[in-house]
Amino acid sequence: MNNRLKVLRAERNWSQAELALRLDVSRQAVNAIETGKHDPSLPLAFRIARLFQKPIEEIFHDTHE
Amino acid sequence: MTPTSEDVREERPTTLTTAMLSVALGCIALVGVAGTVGVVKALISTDTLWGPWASKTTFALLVNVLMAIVGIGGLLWLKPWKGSGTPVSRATRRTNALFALSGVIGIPGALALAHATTTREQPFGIFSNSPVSPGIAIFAVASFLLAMAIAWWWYYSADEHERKAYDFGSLLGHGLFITVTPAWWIAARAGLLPQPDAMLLWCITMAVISIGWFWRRYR
Repeated sequence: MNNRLKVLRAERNWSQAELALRLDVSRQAVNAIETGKHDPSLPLAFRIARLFQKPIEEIFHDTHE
Repeated sequence: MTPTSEDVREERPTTLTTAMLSVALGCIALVGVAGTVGVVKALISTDTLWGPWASKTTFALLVNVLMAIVGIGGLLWLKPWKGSGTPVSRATRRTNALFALSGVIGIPGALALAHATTTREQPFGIFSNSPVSPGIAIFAVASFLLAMAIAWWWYYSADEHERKAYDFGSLLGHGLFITVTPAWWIAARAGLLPQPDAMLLWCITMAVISIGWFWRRYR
């Protein structure tokens, strides 16, 4: 699954650690999501969507589509 | 202008090598300190602290002191507790604290075991299958149960990425244990291998779990 997390983070000039702090996850978790090594669970995906005030499908894209 | 991926402030996360090295150095330091304490206690109890020492005892003391120096010195040089200086989430702080707590619990356990099992005749007694007193056994079992409770607390405090990494390591360890244990048992019955050693199996399983867990977390 692809995502725009890195770009959205850049728009707000947040570091990975700052984003991790806002999501209450580790910096490694943010790094793994950004690099596509970890697909977030639905609850975390919703938390990310709420934080960036965007629908989930604007942040995450199914690569099979 | 909308920033691109390349504009994002990147940080250098803790590497797999640093994480693995920190755990390995911690284990080496713990075994070295516990072993040194055990040998010194054995020498004191036989009133031979200032000699004469058997060559086996001298060798055991040297190995243990060297392990303690390498482990503690390596940790002081690596400073794994220092972190990157960036703020961490509440969940991460909690899991880090629980991880450190589990290490702290291991210290008195290892020291007690070394104290109880090391003798002048058996300077590496901590690694043997020699009998121990019921008091030491009860203390050890209680510390294992406490460690398990902390591990569960840690697991349910960790974020989903950490849990997935740990699940992956556990799956590898589980696969190894359920394969190697019966294979070794049947091979021993056929006279191909010596009798299975539970603690050796445990050590190998823990090493595999840690490698899989850290690889998945820091890759």
